Amino acid sequence: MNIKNKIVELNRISLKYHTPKKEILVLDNLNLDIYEREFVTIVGPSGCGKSTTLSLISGLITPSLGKIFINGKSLNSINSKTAYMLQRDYLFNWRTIEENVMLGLEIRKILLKSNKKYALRLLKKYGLKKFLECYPYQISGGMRQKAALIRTLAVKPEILLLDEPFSALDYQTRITISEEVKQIINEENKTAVLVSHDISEAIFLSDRVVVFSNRPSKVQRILKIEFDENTLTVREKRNHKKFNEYFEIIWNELNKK
Amino acid sequence: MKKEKIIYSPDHLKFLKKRKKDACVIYFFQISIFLTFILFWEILAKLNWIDAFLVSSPSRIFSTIIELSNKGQLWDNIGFTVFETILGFLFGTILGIIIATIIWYSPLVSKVSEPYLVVFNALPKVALGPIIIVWMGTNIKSIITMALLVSTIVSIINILSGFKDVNREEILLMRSFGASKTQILTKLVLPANISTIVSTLKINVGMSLIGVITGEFLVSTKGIGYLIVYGGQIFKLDLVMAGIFILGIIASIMYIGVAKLEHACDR
Ligand SMILES: Nc1ncnc2c1ncn2[C@@H]1O[C@H](COP(=O)(O)OP(=O)(O)OP(=O)(O)O)[C@@H](O)[C@H]1O
Ligand SMILES: [Mg+2]
Repeated sequence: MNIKNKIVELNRISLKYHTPKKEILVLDNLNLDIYEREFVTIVGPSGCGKSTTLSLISGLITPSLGKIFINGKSLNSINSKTAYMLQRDYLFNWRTIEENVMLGLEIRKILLKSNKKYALRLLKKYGLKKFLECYPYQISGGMRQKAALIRTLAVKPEILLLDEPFSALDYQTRITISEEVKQIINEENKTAVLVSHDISEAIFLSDRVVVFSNRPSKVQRILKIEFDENTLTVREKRNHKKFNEYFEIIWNELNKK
Repeated sequence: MKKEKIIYSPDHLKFLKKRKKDACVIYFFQISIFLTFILFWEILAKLNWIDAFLVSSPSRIFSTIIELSNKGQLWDNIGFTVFETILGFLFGTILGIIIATIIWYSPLVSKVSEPYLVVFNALPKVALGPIIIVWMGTNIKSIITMALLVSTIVSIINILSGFKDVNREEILLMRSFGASKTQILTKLVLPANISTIVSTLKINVGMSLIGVITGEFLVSTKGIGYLIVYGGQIFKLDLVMAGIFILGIIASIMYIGVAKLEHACDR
């Protein structure tokens, strides 16, 4: 990989949530840089602030302390360069797949011919052409998650925020869909930040794995994932001796006291 | 949606047949209970075991209805009550949607209005009758107001709780695309609540009818509610019973109408 531009910079971020009973310090002095076209996965204990970190990058919440830079510019409203993909697809049942995919364009009021065409091209390219007129409840979970990805891509984000997008899928679908999603993200030249609880998934999808510590969290370890060849399939990666090494390292980091 | 011809297996045909049979059995009992009740009532009245002056009888109710019809009073009164009820439940629901939307828009309004909604909901609306009459006069306006009072508050509470139940992650998704509150309303909250609104409509058939009859009791010189009160005043219980019977039919027909609408919405 060549040297790339820093697309996201989280600079000494602290974040507190306030509830009537207490305040929770979730992130404490967190630093993280993400580079263009990189696939970064965040793993960490439950409740350590992974989803919160994505929300921060998307501009949905603002940090209590510290600054976020997107392409070097300080972020202070909704970040239109990002788009979300969540654990469940949240396709709306009253819209067809095509209409669902156009949702983001509609909201941003950029439902132009060219943008629509781009979305339709993605749908066709990634095997959803025959479902355009279907309603979400008529298609399979994997297909739905792919439609959700294309809804995300349709607004041409530079950064995709993926919050455990595969965890609701069954094991087999999960492997094929996650590989496919990774491939789509690569082909469309996107940067991706994934949150996952699945160490294997983190290893075979990412360029770097970021391990968060217990709350109040900071970055505990960053691990570069490099297999010798670039184009290994999931199964090839799984059988690679490096896979186990990486797995061990992450496992130990997660179980450190 | 397209209808395709599907060929069923013998097992499945058996299953369908059984289902149909079960449904027939249920209908049979429902209808026969009704008929038996009518029959016994009539016979007991005919045999003078019960006092038909006090409890009326099916044939007396029937002839009262015919008599009303001959005097040209039947359809007028039914029309009047039905008209008021439809106005009541349509506008009650529409008002409910509008007010629920306003409350949903502003968390401040939502919190401020909560105790008022609770108290107003618990308050028997008939207690407001005298005030309404003084303000609106003894006319149809009072009746509609009563129907609106009864149905609007229920609609607000029902629809608002539907609005608030919308999945938080779905809202997060909308917001991450940069959606404004209005866009969240029109593209997510409203469409997600179509079924809540239809079921509110269903509840409001009953609510509005309660309001209308209450209103007619208080002020009217027309309508089924008036017939019932009037029958009571002149000790003509046949008229009272006839009124109740007609109300039952009106309520069922309106309910079936809205249930059909609900079915259509469900696809
Ligand atoms: N809006 C909020 N108000 C108060 N506390 C919150 C809020 N959102 C999250 N929290 C708390 O902040 C902590 C971090 O939440 P977050 O959802 O970022 O964790 P996470 O790492 O994504 O967890 P998980 O692995 O369970 O998805 C949790 O303890 C959570 O209870
Ligand atoms: Mg989370």
